[in-house]
Amino acid sequence: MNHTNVKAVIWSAALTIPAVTLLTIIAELVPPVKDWLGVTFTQHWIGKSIITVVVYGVLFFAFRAVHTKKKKDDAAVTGLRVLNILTIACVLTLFAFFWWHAHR
Amino acid sequence: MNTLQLLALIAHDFLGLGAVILSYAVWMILMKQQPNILRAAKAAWWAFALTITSWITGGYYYVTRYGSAVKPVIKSGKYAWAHTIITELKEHIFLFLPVLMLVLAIVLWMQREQKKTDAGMLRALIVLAGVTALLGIAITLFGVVISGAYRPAKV
Repeated sequence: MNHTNVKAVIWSAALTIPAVTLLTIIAELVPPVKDWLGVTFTQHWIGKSIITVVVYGVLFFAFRAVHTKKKKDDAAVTGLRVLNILTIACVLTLFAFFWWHAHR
Repeated sequence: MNTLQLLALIAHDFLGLGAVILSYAVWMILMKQQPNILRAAKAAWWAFALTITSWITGGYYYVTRYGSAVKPVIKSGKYAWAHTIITELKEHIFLFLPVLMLVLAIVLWMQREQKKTDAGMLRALIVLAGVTALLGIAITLFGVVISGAYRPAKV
C-alpha cells in the first residue's frame, strides 16, 4: 500500500463516522428512513452496518483519486487529527441525541 | 434462547473483550519512550480482526434475539433508559470501531519500517489509539449495564 492509499484510508474514515452519525439521527427522526433501512436490509442496524462499509469503500476510492500538493506525512497527520476530533464530536453528539430522544 | 444465539453472545463478549485489551495494548505500546511500531501494528491488526468477528456474532444475537426478547423486557422495566440510551449508543458507536481500528492498523503497518516515526504522526496515533481503546472500554461497560437491566419475569 502506498502513501496515497494511506491518506485515503484516513480521510475516508474521517468522513464515514460523521456520515453514520447523521444517518443514525435522521433514521430516528424520520420514521420512513428507518422503515426503509429495515425493509431493504431486513433490519435497520444491519442496514447501517452495510452502509458504513459501502460509504467507507466509496470514499476510499474517491480520496485515492485525489492528489494533494501537501507533503505525504502532513496530509496523513492532518487527516488523523480530523478523524480524532470528528470521532469525539460524533460520540458526544450521539450521546446528547439519545439522551434528548429518551426524555422528550 | 437457542444454542446458536447463546454461542453468538458468548463469542461476541469474548471477541469484543479481546479487541478492547489489544487496542489498549496498542495505546500503551505507543506511549512508550521508544515504541515498537511493528508490535503495535500486529496488535492493531488482531484488534481489527476480533472487532469484525465480534461485530458479526453480536449482530446475529442482536438481530435474532435482543430485539424480540430482551428489548421489550428492558423497556417495560424500571431501567428503560438502559435500552433507550445505553443500547442505542452501544449499537451505533460500535460501528465506529472497525473503521478506527482499520485506520490504526494500516497506518501503523506503513510506519513499521521507518527508523523514526514523525513526532506529529506519533502524537496523532496515540490519540487515535486512546480514543479507540476508551470507546471499546465504554462499550464493554454498556454491555454490563444492559445485561444488568434485563430482568425477565420469574415463572
